[in-house]
Amino acid sequence: MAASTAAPYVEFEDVVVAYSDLVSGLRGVSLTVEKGELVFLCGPTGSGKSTLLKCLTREVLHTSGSVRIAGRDLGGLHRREVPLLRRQIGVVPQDFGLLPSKRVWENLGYAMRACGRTKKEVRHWVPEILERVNVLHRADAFPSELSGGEQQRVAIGRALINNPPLLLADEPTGNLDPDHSVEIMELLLQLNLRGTTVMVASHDMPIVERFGKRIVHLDHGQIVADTGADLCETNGSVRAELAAELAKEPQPEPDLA
Amino acid sequence: MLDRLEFLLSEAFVSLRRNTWMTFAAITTAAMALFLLGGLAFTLAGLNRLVGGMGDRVEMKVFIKDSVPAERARELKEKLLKVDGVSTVRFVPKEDGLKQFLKDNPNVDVTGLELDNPLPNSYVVRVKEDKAFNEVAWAIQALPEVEPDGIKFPAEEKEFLSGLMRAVPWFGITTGGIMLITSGILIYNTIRMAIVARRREIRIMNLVGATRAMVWTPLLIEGVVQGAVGGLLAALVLWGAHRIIDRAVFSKLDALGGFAPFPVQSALVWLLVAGAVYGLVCSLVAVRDPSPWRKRSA
Repeated sequence: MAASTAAPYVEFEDVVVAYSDLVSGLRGVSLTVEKGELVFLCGPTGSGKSTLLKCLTREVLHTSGSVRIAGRDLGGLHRREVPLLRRQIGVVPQDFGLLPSKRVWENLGYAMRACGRTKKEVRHWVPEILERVNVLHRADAFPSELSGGEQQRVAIGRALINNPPLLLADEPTGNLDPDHSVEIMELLLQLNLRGTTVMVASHDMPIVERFGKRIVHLDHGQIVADTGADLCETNGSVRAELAAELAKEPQPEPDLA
Repeated sequence: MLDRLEFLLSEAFVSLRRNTWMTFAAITTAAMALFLLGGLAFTLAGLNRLVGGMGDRVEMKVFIKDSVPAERARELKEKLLKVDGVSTVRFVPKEDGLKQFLKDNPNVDVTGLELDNPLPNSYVVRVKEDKAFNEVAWAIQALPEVEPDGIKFPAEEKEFLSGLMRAVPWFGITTGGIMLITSGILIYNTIRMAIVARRREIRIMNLVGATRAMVWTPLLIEGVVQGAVGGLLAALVLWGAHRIIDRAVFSKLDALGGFAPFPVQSALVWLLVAGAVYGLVCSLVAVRDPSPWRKRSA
């Protein structure tokens, strides 16, 4: 889906996150994401990708600067308002975060019940969401009986229970093989095509580049490059240059920061 | 609403089942603490009642010298009533005293006692206030008509009860307090363990936007249930202990006037409420944000 031309949906303005005097998560990040856009955040471990996403869910409160979603400053949110903010955001963690003792449909149902939905709503919505992420046929399976790709699909399904306009995926392909990685990225692209704004943190450059979408490169808590979608699609040399630059870095590990 | 309540309760009971032994330890320690403190309150109330009532119930017997004629002995009533602290005075002629003695001791061989009554004339004196007991006794003893060492009253019994009144609170507060702190720590630990055991669920809940109430209420329910069950157990054990002590000791000591009846309903209610509130407080402490650095995040 093409990004709208209205005011930015997600806005970072000179955002600093200092975990301590010596350790910084973000160092003056400014970034805007339009409604309906799909943005990849790339960079090595510790570059600030996860911190940036966590600022949006208020898991991390920025030290200075401002973070806005749909014009709302997240720094001024009261603690009680944070859950309501999170219902507007779907989060897909790298480790899937599925409850091993619950079946696929129960994993979604549990999350819905925790958000105050009734059993009737669970019965109505869970099959529909599972259908959207193509795991309805595994609804009665336990997570341990699923492949990595299927588990990640369930995690994405759970992120959709509140029908959020913004979806954040933190290294969604970090634990997957290349085939499953493409499958998951395609699913995220599908959701984006339906109108959801999607931000994906990933260090899997080859897969990210295949989608020809906007890529924001982070390193040491700063944005070092912001490659627009059109530029990605037309200017292969820029991608190759950045890829080569990143290849000089040590092989990145899954970012758990 | 019911749907939500069902979810919260099921979460709480899942958690209780997961930590069976820790839950058991927390409940039994809470029960012991509340048993001791509840027992203390009940015992103190009973002793208060006993000692408080003693001023009226316990009668001081004043024996008159044998050499004092009966008429003069009767006239002594006025003198006795003038003594500070005396409430009522009742003259007991030696004949009545003997009748009472025979009634109290039916097995005693009384041959010849009717002819030569060895008992003196006496008075039964009641005091207005329990505290004035000794002063009244000394004042009466000073009267010339009264036999030397002619006053009988259960001073030792009162002294013993007063000593008990002083000792019971310290014993109860010390042991009960220690148990209460122990049970508090156990409830706290159980909740902390439940948080660790449920960290996946809590993470998911936070991730999808569950409210703080939704996340923490099951843990608070868990603490309340532990405290309340502890209180219930304490009330039942206290009731059982009361029955045993009543049968074994108090029913045989008429002088103490029997044990106070056990207030089953109020004990159940009070100990249950006390346990529940205590469990709630401990679990509230356990679920609070423990690390200052976490204040940075929501």
